[in-house]
Amino acid sequence: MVDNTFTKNGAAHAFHLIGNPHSGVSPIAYWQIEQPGFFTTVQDGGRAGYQQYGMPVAGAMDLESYELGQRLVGNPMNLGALECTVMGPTFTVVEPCVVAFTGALMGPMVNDVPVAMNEAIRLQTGDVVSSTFSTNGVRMYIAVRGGFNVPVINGSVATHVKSKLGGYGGSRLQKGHVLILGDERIAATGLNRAVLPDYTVPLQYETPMARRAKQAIRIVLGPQADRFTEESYAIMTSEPYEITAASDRMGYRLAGAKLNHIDGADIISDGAVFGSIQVPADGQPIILMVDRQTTGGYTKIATVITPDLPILAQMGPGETVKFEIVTVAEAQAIYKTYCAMWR
Amino acid sequence: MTPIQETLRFAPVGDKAVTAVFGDTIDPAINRRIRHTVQALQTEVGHTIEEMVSTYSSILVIYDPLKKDYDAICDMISAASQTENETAAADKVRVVEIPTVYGGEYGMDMDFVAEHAGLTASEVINIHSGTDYLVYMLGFIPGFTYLGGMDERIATPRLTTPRTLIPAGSVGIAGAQTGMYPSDSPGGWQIIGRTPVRLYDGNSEKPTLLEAGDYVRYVPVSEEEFLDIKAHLATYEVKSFYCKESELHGR
Repeated sequence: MVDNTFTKNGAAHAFHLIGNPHSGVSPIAYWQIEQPGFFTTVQDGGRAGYQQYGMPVAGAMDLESYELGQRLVGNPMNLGALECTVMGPTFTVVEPCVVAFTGALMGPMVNDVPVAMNEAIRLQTGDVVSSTFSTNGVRMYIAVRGGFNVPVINGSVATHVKSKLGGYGGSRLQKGHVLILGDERIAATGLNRAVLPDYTVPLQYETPMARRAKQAIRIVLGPQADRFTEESYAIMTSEPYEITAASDRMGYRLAGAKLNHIDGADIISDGAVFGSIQVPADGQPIILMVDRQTTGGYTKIATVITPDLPILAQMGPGETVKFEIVTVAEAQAIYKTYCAMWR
Repeated sequence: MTPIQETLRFAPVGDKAVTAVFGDTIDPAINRRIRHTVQALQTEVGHTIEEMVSTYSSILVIYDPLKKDYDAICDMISAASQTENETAAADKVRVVEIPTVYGGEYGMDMDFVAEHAGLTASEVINIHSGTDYLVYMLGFIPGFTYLGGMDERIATPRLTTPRTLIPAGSVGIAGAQTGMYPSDSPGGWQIIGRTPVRLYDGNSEKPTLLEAGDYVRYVPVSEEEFLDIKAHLATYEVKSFYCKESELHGR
């Protein structure tokens, strides 16, 4: 039951409703954005199932921290959270709500008092939420029980800024934006905004930032590994690659030792996934991330395994990636253990 | 075994996807095989398969490795590729008619394309609208179709400097390819016309008018008809029908 004229544009929807927030019988819960942070968008698990139509998936870069946040506030997985890059937003809370901060360590504060990460926290009307520059990791997630009142497009609230689609009017948050919390969805899912859920993070859980210090980024060779010299595999796993400044939610452009094609870098365009490592003619790898196009025409030497994508998502420009090759059978065994570890 | 089955090969795309490669050329026969395989696998979507992306000569299959491992998923795709769909409908393809106003302000590069081809504008229109184009795949931006089968006579190089804004619905030529822009976008294609129909709608369950495997038939319309369709888009029904491949135009 959502008027179509507003579903296309979250912003129009929000401003329409906010014209007189306290006039109606039911109070509208919202967050008034005082400072937007560096780059803050609404993201969820991504727009899966529509790649056949050329629709980019988008969604959270660190799906693990995103999902952890949703669990902590007791949400179904597709309600969305704020993905904050490098520095989080400052906003004022109107009406009580339950939130959780996960992912990068941005020192979240409520009324200038630091609060714990990876825990459900109750907020009251008038509370001001803020954060600092990240001290570890790149992306922090702010989950809220019931999610946000933004349009669901093809089953997802994820923002894809390049196509101006999803989230808050298809854009990053700006000062002055009013983010209405998901009343309708709270009703639809039977959630109560004021009740703290009882989920806690498993004791053995290690964040992507903690895992990063201990291991390389693991990859499975293929689908076009045979288009590279064998020497390239050795180069790729022994040399460090730096994440360059030209890296974003679409892709991480790496700089390092050149990978050599046997017979050119072009292929007949095929499908790509989150973690596909494509190598254009210059021999410098590009890791495709969540905002990638659905198909690509460059050779792909390997793919980052799912459990290591959150580690990569928490790394930023200037940091160095080291790769390690595993077989597809090993990768699938690692994935099984990973899923059992924290779910 | 047919030659195509012999060439079917698999490569892992990480721990939860596989690419099934049906050939190394852009060929309607390969694409047909892909279409049939995707149809045969459709019942698995939502179970072992999360989604499939078909492209010119391969299918990317994203699956749940907790339910099926790499070898098992390859076996499943292999089996699906060999199921012959023997119903009469399987031989038929869907043709979608795209009303298009050619030239003028809607096709600002028409004169360049005609001059490059050594033809008149009306000859370019006849050639362009006289062939049905196979939708090999969608990608680049939501709803963008990669079409095959354009007549070489009207092939034209891309603009040397791309335009910052091409209006939605624009029909263009880039090298030996033709296609259209589903939404406003920057682009370097030579624009020869524009269609009023909506090619992409993000609010719809099936967000694009066209799917891989459809054929596109451009139908020239006057500016008056173009404006009329545009004004009544909510009630306008895009014409589409099924026919045998032998009945397609430009074979």
